[in-house]
Amino acid sequence: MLFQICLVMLKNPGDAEDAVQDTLLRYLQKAPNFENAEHEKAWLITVAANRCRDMKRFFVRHPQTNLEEIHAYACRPEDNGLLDTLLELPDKIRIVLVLYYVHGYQTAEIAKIIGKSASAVKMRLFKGRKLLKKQLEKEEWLYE
Amino acid sequence: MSENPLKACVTSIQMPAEAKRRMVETLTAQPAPKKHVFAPRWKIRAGALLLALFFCCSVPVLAASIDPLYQLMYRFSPGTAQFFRPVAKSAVSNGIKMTVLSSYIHGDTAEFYLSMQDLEGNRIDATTDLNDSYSIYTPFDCSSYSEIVSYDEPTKTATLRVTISQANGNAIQGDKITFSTKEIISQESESIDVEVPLALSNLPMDAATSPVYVTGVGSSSAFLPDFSDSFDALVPGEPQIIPSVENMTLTGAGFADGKLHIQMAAENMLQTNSHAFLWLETADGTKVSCDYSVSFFEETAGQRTDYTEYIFSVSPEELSSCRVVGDFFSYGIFTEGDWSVTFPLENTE
Repeated sequence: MLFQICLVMLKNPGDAEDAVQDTLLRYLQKAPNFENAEHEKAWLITVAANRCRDMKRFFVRHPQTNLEEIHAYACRPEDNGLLDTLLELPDKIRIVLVLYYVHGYQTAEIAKIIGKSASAVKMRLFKGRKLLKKQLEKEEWLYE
Repeated sequence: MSENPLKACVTSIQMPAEAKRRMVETLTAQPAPKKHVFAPRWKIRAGALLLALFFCCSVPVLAASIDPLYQLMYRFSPGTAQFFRPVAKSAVSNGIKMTVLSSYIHGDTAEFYLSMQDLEGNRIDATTDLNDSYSIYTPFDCSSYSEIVSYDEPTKTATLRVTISQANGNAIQGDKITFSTKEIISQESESIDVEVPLALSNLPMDAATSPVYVTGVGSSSAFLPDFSDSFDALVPGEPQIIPSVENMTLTGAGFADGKLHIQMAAENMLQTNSHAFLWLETADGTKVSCDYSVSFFEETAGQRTDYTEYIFSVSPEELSSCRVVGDFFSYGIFTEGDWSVTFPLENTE
C-alpha cells in the first residue's frame, strides 16, 4: 500500500522505496498509541504523504520520471495508459484520487490526512475526475 | 457496479522482492523504538519481525561487521547503496579535511558520500552544509543537491550525501572526475512556527510591483508559471523585524494580479543562507501553502539584499481569518577553503 502511494506521488521507484523506508523507520521509532488498525493505516499514509511532499521539493529542481520503468512495477499492462494519465496529473490531485478511489477514504478523512479542508479535497476530486474523464471511455465508476 | 479501473491499476503495483529485502535489512538494523505502539515493547519487536516476514519469507541478517558507511548508505538510499564504489581520497584546507568516501556515477548523475572534519576547531557540526559551492568540473550546466546524513561529535566529522546532475542529460564523460567545494556553513539556528506580524485585513489590493530578474524558484508542485526569468515583484518597503528571527525581515505584503504576495528580505545571505518556509494558517488550524516562491536580489551601493517572495492563491475574504506562520533558518559560521579531490571515474552504466 505505502509503495503504491509513494510511487504514484514520486513517480520514481528508487525514491518511492526510500520514502517507504523512511515511513516505516518513523513507524518503528515514533509511532503514537493507535486507537485501532484504521488509525494506524491513516497515520502511515499521512507520514508517507508528508515524506513524499518533502522529497518533491527536491524534484522541482531534478525532475525524473521514467514511465516505462514504472510500468515494470505494475502487474496489469492493460492499465498502463490509465497509470500514465494518473501520473501526469498534478501532485495534489493525484494523492486525493488515490486515497478516494483506491483506498476508499471519504473527503473528510482525506482532508485530515493531507492537512487541507474538506472543500479543497472536493474541489481536487472534481478537477481530477474531469482530467481523468478526458482520457477514459467508460467513466461511470468515477461517480460511484 | 462497474469495475473501478483506477483501483485495479494502482493496487497492481508491487514492490520488488529485492527492494523489500533491502528494506528489511535496514529496518532490522535500527535501534529499538522509543515508544509503545498500541502494544507492549516486545510486541513492537515482534511487529518488526513480522514486517520482515511480511516483506519476504527469509529474514536476512545484517552482518554485525558491516561498514558504518554502508549502513548509512543503505539507510539513506537503499535503492542505490550497492552501486557506490569506495574512493577514500582527502584534501585539507583551512584546517578542515574533506574526504570523498564513495561515489556512484551513472549516466548524467554523480552521487558522492563525503566527510568533513574540523582538525582545528568547532566549525563542523550536525548542521553543516556546503552552501551550494560544490561542483564537478564539467562544461555543462548542473543541478545539484546535498544533505547531511550523520554527525560524529567525538571526531567532529559530518558525513554528507551530494548529488549532481548534468542539466542537458548527457552522460558524464572522461576517465577521472574532480569533486571540489569552496564554502562550508554551520551552526544553523532555526525558529519554528513563528507568527509573522502582518495585518492581513489591511493589505493593499493593488500593490506596487516592478519587474525583477529571477534567480530561483521553489514550489511543492511541479507546475510553475512561465515568467521567463522576469517576475513582477512587490517594491520592497521598510524592513520589519520578525520576533525571534535572525537575519530576515518582512519587506512587503499585498495583492498583485489577484494573488497574495508576501516578501521577505535577507542580508548577507551568501554567508548565512538565511531562508524561510511560509504558510497561511486558518482559524481551524488548516495550513495553506504558497503556490510557489521566487527569489531575486538587489544591490545598492555595494550592499546586496536577497529577497524571496511567496505567492498564495487566496482571496481577501478567505485571508481575514488567517495568520501568517513560518519556519526560519540561518547559519552562524561561514568558512571558506579550497577542497578538491580527483579520482578515477567508474561509470556503472
